[in-house]
Amino acid sequence: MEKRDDKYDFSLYEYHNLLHQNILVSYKGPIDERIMTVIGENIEIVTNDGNDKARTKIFKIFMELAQNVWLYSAESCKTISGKQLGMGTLVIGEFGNYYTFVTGNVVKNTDIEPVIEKCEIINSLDRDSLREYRREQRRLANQGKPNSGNIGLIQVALTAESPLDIELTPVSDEESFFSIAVKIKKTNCK
Amino acid sequence: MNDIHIKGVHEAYFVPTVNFEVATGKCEIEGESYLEETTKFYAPLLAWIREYIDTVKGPLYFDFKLSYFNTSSSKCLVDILDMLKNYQKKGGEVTVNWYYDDSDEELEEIEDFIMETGLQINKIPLE
Amino acid sequence: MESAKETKHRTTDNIAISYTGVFDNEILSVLAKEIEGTLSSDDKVNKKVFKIFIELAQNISLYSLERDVTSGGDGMGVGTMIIRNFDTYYEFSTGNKTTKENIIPVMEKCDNINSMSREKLREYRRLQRNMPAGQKGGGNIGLIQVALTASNPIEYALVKCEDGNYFYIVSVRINKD
Repeated sequence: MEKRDDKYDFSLYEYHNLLHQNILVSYKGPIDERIMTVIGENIEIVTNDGNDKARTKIFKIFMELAQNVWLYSAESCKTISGKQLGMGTLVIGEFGNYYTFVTGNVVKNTDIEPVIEKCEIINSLDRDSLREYRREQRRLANQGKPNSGNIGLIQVALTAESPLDIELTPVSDEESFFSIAVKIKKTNCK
Repeated sequence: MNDIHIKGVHEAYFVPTVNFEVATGKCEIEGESYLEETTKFYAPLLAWIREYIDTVKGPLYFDFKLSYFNTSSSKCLVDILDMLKNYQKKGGEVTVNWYYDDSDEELEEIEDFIMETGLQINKIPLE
Repeated sequence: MESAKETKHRTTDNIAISYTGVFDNEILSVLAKEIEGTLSSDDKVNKKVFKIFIELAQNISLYSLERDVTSGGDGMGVGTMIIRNFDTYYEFSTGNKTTKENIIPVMEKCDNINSMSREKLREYRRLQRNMPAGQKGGGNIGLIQVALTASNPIEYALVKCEDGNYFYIVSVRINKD
């Protein structure tokens, strides 16, 4: 393709390849209800390999994580009707005996610190402790304590039965790109 | 013969709103036209016009208010315009108004329809 | 894209909207709405990108070599769509797998379109529109429409894949002005 006058070298082929190596669905852009619905349905279709349990798990994880992107992304676009929409990335991949689900979005560093701490706690706990943590957090949330509402991530870890693979990459002094990847095994789904 | 009333839909495909009236000869197609089976959708509209021309033989007033149509729809729109042109040639009374938003591309497209069909089309900018 | 780390490149490549996966009616409709409603605050530009999207995405659904057959029949094409945002223009690109035999006539058509003035292109569209549907050479107004809507040439590239097939990329710029 013609050499571009922009500062990024970009090859759609490499991009597609990178994405499509094992990738079933990938979306980047504004996240709203209709995108979540259609991507959610899409995920149900492409993971339909007879393993209903893995499929249900992916769908549950998708709903929790996509919602976080939708609500907390610091990168947003304005719709024609003036509404602000969060931008983010949703990717579902298939590798041998497991699926992966990855979300990514730009976040304010100040907002993300407690989330990272929470992920680290989650990853350090075994299943029983995780369930206890969920009960405890739910109780705190019900009492209206701040920063306690994020049961979603605990739920994701419990559903996936695997740690939360998190990555934070600074994009400016105040903001970073935050992504979470989870593996969902096709087998051993209880 | 009966009137045609189709309510526009904006879902996976876009169905335009269609109102064709036998009594008055007033016809409008508005909204967006992007259909799963374009020819199948337009066939009854073309059949209606054909029947009106053959049996009612009255005047026809067409209002097109399409904010979007894809290329396969444009082929069917040309079929309608061709039919109207032929009716006019045989002495039928035909008025065609095409409403457009103020973009050069849309204006060009109407001009091309005029060139393509030889039919007089009133170009009316949308408020 | 197995890990969280590999996802970050997406922030640094000007991507406004991208999608890889099955190009079925539902996803096309939602993507079209996102483009129409959220791409920029200039609804004229959004509409142009939207028109180009409808024509090119449809080609992926119909002609991509890679197909998802879960929905039955011939299935739906799989491919990639990317809209990138630059200072003065948007760049709309699609990519899908194809065979050389299928794509060479399309590339010739692009060359032909790119060599024409706007007036010629309009004439060409009128001509194509009057060809009966299904006739050879007809039914190819889509690309002409893309060039007229974008007011820019259609760029394309063909890359050989490891499996011996080809990856076909079409790209057009839509000026913001």
